[in-house]
Amino acid sequence: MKAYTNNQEITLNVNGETYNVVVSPHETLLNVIRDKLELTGPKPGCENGDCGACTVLIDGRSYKSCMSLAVEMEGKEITTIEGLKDTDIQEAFIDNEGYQCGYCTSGFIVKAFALLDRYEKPDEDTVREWLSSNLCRCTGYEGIEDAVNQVIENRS
Amino acid sequence: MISFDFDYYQADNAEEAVEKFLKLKEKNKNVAYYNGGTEIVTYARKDKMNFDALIDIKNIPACNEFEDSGDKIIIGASVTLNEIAEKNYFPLLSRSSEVVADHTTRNHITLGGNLLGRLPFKEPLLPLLVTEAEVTTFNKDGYQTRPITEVFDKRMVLDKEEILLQITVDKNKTKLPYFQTRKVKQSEIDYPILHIAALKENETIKFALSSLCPFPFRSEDIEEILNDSSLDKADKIDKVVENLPVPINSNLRGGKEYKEMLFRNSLQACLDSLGGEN
Repeated sequence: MKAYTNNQEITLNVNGETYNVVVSPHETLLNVIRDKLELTGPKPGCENGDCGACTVLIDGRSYKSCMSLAVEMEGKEITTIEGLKDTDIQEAFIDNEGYQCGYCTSGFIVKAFALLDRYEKPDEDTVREWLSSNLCRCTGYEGIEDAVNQVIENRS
Repeated sequence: MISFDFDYYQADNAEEAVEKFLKLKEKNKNVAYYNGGTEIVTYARKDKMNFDALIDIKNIPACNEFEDSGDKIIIGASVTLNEIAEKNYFPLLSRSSEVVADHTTRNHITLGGNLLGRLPFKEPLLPLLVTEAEVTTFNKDGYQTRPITEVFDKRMVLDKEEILLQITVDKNKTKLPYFQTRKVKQSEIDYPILHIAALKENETIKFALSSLCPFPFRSEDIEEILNDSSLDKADKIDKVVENLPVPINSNLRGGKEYKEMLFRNSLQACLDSLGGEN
């Protein structure tokens, strides 16, 4: 049985890089990614699992990093928005102005990336179901959906 | 960030998890089992829950099994609601799982966590009640297998050190005609006002309900009324409402009268769908 106590070194794999970092069990993955790895793409929004601004990929699936403990993550592949450079979905967000204030954007892009990785051509209901995991307080949903649809259309 | 310190253990099997739990309890430690973590992390962050240690059971192999195995479906307690919906071995359970929270959060939420958590809605419980699923647990006396209808009484009643490992469903029952509905106030991503799961087996309707009243239940009295061929549909609906084992409760999502109206309409749809004769 693995045991973790305060201030223990763990190894995290983030965006293809290995980080040895000292953490305590009470630290969420979001806190560690931002404060110790200095990857500030995942945003603290509600920190309650509601807004999705902190979304990251863990072994290819989307998770809200505010609801995961960092100590759970040894041996897993974590991807943040910083690991999605030059992806089609990032370009599509720019083309369609899929952002307003930008605070929710990294979470939306990570979620959209997971969707487009899972499905070649997701239908409208699936796109909406997946994107409804995230909130945009500026209500810029149309541009976000347009960005996802652009990537889908370009695959045709 | 959670504001208090605690120790975290990752168990590789049920035996060592229970042994660690009992040892920590002997030292008067406040211990909790940890699975998907959505409730524990959010409650702990708000200081609504406190503990000295968490024992993570996600790495226990039995908790991760999810198999269509001959005449039964085996679902580990750590299988997530999205995995259940995606594999769709049991359509009524899939429909009742894919409505919980939002898509990303369903990657966290496990079936075991949903059944054992504090939230009373427990949508995935209802298909398990109407199919008389069995639960396999492990406690200080070893492995136990019992019908979920014996374990669930307003909440899952397990010993403090007992771990829910698996749920087993008779595969024949997963193919029966079913009815499922979930009513919410406005947004799909919200706690429900009403959730119904029902199926028809040998011309008999089996029926379970959550959110209308303070806790989920399956009631023999209600099923007797629904299956009484001497009553027409309108009489069945009236009698069911009169014979609810607990009163409908009002809350922020809906007043008692509004919830009763939704329940009556949903019951009508259920009887229409599953072929109430009259």
